[in-house]
Amino acid sequence: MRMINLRYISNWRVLLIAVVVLVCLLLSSQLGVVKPYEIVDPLDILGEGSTLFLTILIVIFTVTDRPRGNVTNLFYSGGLLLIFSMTLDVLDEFFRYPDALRLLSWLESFPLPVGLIIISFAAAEWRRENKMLSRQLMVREKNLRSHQWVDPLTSLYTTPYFIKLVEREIALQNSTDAESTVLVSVNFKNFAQYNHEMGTKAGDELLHQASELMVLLLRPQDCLCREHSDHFLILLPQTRLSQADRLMKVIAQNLNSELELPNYMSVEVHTHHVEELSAVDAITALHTQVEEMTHYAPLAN
Amino acid sequence: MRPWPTSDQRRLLGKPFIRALLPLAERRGISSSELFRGTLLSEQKLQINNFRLTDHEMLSLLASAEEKINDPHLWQLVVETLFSDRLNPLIDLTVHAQTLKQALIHLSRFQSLIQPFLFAPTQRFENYLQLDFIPVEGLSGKMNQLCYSANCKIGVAILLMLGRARGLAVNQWHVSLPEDISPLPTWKKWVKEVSSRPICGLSIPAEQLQEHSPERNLAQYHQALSFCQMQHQTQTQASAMLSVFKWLDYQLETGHDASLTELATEIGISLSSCKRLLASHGYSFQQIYDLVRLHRLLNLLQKYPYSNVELAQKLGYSNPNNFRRACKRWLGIVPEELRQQQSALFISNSAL
Repeated sequence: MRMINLRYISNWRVLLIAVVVLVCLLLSSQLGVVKPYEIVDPLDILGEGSTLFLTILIVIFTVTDRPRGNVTNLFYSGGLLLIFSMTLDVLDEFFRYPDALRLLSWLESFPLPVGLIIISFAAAEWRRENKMLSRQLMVREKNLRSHQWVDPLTSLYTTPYFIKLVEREIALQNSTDAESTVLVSVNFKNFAQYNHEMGTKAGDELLHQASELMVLLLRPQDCLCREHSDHFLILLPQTRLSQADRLMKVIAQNLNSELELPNYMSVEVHTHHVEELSAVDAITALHTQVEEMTHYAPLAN
Repeated sequence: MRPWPTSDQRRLLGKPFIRALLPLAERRGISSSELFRGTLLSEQKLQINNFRLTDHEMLSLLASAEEKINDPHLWQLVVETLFSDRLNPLIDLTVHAQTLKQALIHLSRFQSLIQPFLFAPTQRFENYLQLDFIPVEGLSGKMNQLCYSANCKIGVAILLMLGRARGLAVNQWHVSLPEDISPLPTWKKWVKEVSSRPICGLSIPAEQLQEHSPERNLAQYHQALSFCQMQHQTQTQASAMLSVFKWLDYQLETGHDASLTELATEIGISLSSCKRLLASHGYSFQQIYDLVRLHRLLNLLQKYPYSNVELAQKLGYSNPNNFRRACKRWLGIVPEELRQQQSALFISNSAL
């Protein structure tokens, strides 16, 4: 396991933890006298020392791996107070202080409960944060989490995952007489040209923005997946076809206006009411519909 | 046969390729340090060697990217970036070559400027040209397979993009891929047909070879040619494995014996040196000989549904049963089944 990593050392919060430990050492060494070796209790040192060590590790991991924000700041502040208190507790095993000097005793005791109260607030905020995140993720993942099927560019799930979801909805529909399910295909006409003219970086950014926008506009019960390239699939459970058409019209309009697409590009949306008994058949039927519409559209125009 | 470079020589110019790959990887959540982990590469090493790579380093990079970046379009996008950003003079050279035939010759000659996929000798059939990609060995197990998969996708992507950039009708082309490599939906839209074949390859209608590029820029062509010639270490330096492949193929065609001893004699080195040289490219003599025979077998069946006796004779087997066993070992199917599969391919390509 890598114990030392440059990214940890370069974080000022981590350095501050080191400073706090050193300040405690300084205070103890200046105000106290080193105890004789015979009266030092190794078991006490082991217990308190390992607790301190683990607390420092947990605080470091929290601040370096979490994004910045209120929750992280609260965890850090509370953790720092705990570290301060625990360090003095460990140093207590090595130094003896004059009986008249109560300062260190207060410094050892007082920050601990304050730190724990702050951490409790942090935990409550973290719980709220998780609820919000889960709601955000709902449109991406619904009831199943399977990271090998995540598209690395947009963080949406991909076709294998979508098939599982559609299978589930078809089973529910058949067993409970639930409302119908609609599948939607969304793609960007002439995306290859855009990619060629503007570069793959611009193409990737467009897809990323499009996926973020669709996630924002879809309902919590819907699910968006990236099929391939500029093709997306949407599952609209318990939705009538007319409802789906209205919803997708709004999404298409928003995509066209917000993404500032060049004139040769447009968003193509196709809806399909699921009547098939298997997910693969339903998706194939959707693709067939898309091909037919694409083939006949130039003739119609 | 001229002496060839060993696989530990820094003959590959990796900068354009890496410049195209790294930002794509980054946008897909894989940092460069994560991409290089498990390979022989690091950012420092690349800088020190001025982005020159050995074959092995390139293979390990391809395998690493194929494994870690879970995007089936990755290599198509890398190639599109090479084309659109003009990161490599070889791209310009092939786009502005007079004919497709000339472009393919340049591609084969200067391929170390882009990546070490290897063309087998092209096979000219009645009305089409068959280009194959030799599996490039050198890594172990799963990484080897990943590397081959990446190589195939890059090779097909480069050729398709080249065809489109030259204004050719790629919808008349035919792509063949091994069963474990899935074709991109984009390719299926572009080409006439994507079929399954043990060795990855591309069939191009013969009449397209002499088509001139409508937007040819002569000045850019000459400039690109100068760059390629300057950057290429030795103009006459042939790919090691391609030389061996061609020699073995020639020996089979002319009915001569092909053994490790004769190969060593042909190159002018000792038997043990020859063995070591092949091993440095990840092959034993028998493995590459089998590969040449497999390649020859597929091309023979594309021409005509030869019988087992005829195929055995053409592939240097004394006994048709030995040939039958070898076919089962290579492909997991008997020659009769392969003949049926390849007949369909033969009919399809005849219509090109």
